[in-house]
Amino acid sequence: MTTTAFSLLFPGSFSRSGASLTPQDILVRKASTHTGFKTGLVLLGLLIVCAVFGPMVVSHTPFDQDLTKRLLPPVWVTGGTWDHVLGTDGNGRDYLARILYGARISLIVGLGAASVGAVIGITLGLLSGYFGGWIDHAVNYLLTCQLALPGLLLAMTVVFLIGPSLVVVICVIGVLHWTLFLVVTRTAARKIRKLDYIAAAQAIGASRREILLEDVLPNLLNQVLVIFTLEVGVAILAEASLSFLGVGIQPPTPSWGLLIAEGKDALFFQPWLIILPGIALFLLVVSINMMGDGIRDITDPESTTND
Amino acid sequence: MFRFLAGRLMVAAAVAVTLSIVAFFLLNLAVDPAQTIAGEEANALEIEQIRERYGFDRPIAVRYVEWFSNIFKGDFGESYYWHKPVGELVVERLPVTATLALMSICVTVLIAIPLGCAAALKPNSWIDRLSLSVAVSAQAIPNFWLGLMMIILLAVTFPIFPVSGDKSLYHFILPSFVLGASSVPPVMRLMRTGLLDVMNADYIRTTRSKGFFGLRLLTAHAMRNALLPVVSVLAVQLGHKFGGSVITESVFAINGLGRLALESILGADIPTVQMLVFLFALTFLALNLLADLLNAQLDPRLRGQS
Amino acid sequence: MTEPLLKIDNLRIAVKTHGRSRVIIPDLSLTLERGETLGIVGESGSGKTMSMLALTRLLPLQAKIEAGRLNFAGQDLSTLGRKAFHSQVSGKRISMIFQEPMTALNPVYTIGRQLTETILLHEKVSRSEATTRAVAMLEQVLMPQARDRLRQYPHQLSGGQRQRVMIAMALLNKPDLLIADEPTTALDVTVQNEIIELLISLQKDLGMAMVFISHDLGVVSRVAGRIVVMRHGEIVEEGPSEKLLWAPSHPYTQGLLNCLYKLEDGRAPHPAAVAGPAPVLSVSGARKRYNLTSGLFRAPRTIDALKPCSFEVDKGETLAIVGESGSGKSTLAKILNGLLKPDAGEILLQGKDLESISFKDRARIVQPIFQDPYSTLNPKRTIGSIVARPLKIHGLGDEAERRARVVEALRSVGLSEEQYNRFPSQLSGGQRQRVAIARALVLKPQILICDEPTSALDVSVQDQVLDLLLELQKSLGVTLILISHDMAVVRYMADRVFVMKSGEIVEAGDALKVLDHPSHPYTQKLLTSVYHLPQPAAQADLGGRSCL
Repeated sequence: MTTTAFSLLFPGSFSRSGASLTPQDILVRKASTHTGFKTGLVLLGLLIVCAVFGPMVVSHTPFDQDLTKRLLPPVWVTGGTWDHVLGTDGNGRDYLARILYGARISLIVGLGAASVGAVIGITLGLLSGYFGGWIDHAVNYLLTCQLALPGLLLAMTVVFLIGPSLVVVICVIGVLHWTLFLVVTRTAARKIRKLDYIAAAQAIGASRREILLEDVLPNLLNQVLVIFTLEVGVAILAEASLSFLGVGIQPPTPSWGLLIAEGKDALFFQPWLIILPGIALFLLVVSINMMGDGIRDITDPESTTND
Repeated sequence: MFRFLAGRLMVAAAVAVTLSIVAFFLLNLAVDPAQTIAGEEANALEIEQIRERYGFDRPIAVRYVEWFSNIFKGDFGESYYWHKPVGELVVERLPVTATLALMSICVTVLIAIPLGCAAALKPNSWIDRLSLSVAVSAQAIPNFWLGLMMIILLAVTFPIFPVSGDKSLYHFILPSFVLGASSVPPVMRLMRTGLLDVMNADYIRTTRSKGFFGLRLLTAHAMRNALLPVVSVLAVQLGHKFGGSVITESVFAINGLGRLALESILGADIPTVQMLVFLFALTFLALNLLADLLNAQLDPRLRGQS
Repeated sequence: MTEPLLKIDNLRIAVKTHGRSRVIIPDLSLTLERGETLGIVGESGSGKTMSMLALTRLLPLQAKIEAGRLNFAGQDLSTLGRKAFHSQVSGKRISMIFQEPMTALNPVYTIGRQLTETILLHEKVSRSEATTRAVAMLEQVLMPQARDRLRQYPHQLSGGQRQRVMIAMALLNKPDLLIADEPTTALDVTVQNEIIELLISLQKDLGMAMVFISHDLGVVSRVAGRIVVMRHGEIVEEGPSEKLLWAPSHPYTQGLLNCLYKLEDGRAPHPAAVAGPAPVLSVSGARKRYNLTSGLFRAPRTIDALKPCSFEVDKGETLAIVGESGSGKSTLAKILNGLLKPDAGEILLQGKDLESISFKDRARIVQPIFQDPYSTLNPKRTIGSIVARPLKIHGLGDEAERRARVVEALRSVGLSEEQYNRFPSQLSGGQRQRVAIARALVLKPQILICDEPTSALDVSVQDQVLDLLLELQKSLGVTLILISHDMAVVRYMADRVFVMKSGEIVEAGDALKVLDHPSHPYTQKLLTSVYHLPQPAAQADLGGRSCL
């Protein structure tokens, strides 16, 4: 079914054949048969739709408190009602609404933080991988400093000191998660630098900036994209951890980590308060990771899976 | 060999000093220590008196040098929050976190290495797909949630393990599993890719042509090469456990360094926080150096020419 | 009549890629007698290696034997279980050596360990006995300082030395059959010569059979008594060497030979150098030295990649620079291209100092052609954009004009306009090299520096590209500086030759004179190391026929 969807979106890729298949065609074809990628894509799509449109569709808002309807169980447990499909929390707020709204938080933080990390890591990686020398030594030093820092602790400290807001959380998580971007970009840049087409570009008179942006960067974007998806997942979980510990997004904003923290005390009697947001986190991150793995398989010229 | 390590040692020392500076300045500039000690109701005069008494009116660089040089004398500062020397707090809780960290790495090794190897030896088989699913799932589960779920399942619904606490080694099993699970995906993948690359390498083909096969080929030749990067990563992961055990210790009510860090941050206890950040960094750097040493031992190419 | 040592009947191998199965060897049968040497010749993709990998159970995971019998010394090998095969046959009665010596040895174990374990795996002898035999074998393969090597690691040995270790490992258990898969292709010519002579003498001493796989007919003709020619997974011709080389029956074999003879004898008619008033390139005292200091407490070690050299090149001339690895030829090429700065010396391009002109000006005078067609083009750009890029960078013409010039450039290298929107991955190796030539010529440079432009291509395509270069030289009047290790190519292309060794030019002069009457001992050694095909009786026949 999804293969048909692919062939409708990219008709050219499926009608051409033989030597006229462009590399893009090959990518599209491989994507259309990769189960992991397709599953991740569909799942993520659904979650995004829920995040964007969900809170508008549900009859309650995440913030309306109704103390007469506290701790109602989800509809499939005895005592639940269809009015609050996923039950209510300790303040009588509708859980479904809170979870849907929480998806927005996770996605915004995830994408934002990963982007911050990407910009830092890719820039440093390109420079140190391509130029080497003292730049490489300096970046290595920065990298070791970053790795040695206990990230979570530092994030907690900074957020605590500056004050928890969405922007602060995004920036702090982003600034603490650029190392993987750096390492991957640097290794790739080093490899690419030795290839003949770089020397050819120098020979025809291209400037260093042109070479970096037009020859080196496009040829490592595939790997960077895979890391990006991974880091979005990492950032989402990092935000959830910070909120869980109380040094992230503050109440009443329903970050999933916060929901779990709030439900922790009712662990024994109302376990759904913890289980549901956790499942939401899992589904979101898993779908992103599956897409990331899929992208890696699809763009790897010598993929060792799916063959 | 020693030349190689001397360089790394110098970088590590430079990094350690840099991080101590970062930790100290960050904390002491953002928070007024006099205010914290005085408390919320104190008035300006009391705060001023405290500032004088403790020497907070001196320039920050001087205070940093004093703090840093004290460390070498074994004086790690005094906690504003617990009113105890920081050194004492650390020594109390270090064995707990160390045990947790080591046990969690054992968990990682026991799960990730066999799975990664099996996946590499039979690519695209059911075990390969299973290991990939395990990696993908483990990467997506928030570890605090996993901890809570484990408690619900294995301590409440089926009371096999204790719910919380750190009294016996048995108490550590569930937390180690939760802490170790987060390292499984990267180590497993590295093992898988590493072994896969090695098995496809020219020298393994040569070894096969000599008559080696099966288990012997794997253990005597392939693994020696495939484990090289894995060892480094395991050392780094172990290093991260020390700073990263906050959540696990929090969920399972374990009195380790992580929990100490959390409480110190929430209580604005500067001396403890800055010391802990520095200590965690040192631990990581030491483990990193150990990994480099191991690497040089295992890989003759790193030992320099003869 | 005694039974043949090896008899392969109707071998069929298929490879699975992207879920689809493709038969790469449909039906292969061949025999080999005891003590005989069989040469298997073919270009890349001919299946020559796969067939032998099937025999030794070293096929890659995606490849499977679908049918056929592999009879070795009267026994069908496919009936043997895993344990039986590896303990009785692999490494004991059949041994194999491979092409890439640099990656063929386990990097974490000593040479001694890798040698002794080969013996200990198959025989119950003491460790010291195994060590003694290992040293004896190393001496037999003419490894200098044999005993000291035992304690060394592979990364401490050169390519030629590692290949000797591989040969020693393969012969330790005195196999009945040795399979040599392109064993010398990755080595320098002089080392190649030594290794091949070594293999021939060892075979005689041990009385074993040998299968020698190569793409190089010259080498195979020296080694093998019988030759099999393969193409697309099938044997197109087989027979005794002399008959095959002098009077081949299959057109493909004929074509391969034509290409080689053409390079070896036929001096391509090309324009006489136009000696203008000033040389187009003038080098004086250029040199480059590298410092290899590893670590803090070591005395600096230096290596002279290029010792001070001076020469001039005239417009329209074809100069060949010949040498093996470490000779300095690549360093010189990079310096002339402006990609590497020399430590000293002056280089004048059309009278202008290379150091003082801008990148862009330099680009319009000298352009490179590189060796590897698979890394010379940016995979993310279309062919059209690759060839148009120099024009774009130099701001020449608007979009329409650039497109026109690109199409013209593509046509001049024999590619159609259709290729404009294609990507490099859609083109063959030879086509990619043509695109590289088009890219280099679009700025109409005066000098083309070609660093091994055809050594990565199949024989049948090589001379097409060389002819193209000569043709373009005629029509555009460019000066060609050709870096090569292949004497046949040099003979075909060059007016003048420089022979380089260890960073300096040891002999220089008119091409034919140097190649036919070398004066420097190194040049002499280089020329005698190359294997020439035996001269065929009927040479007149070949003149008219075109190469493949």
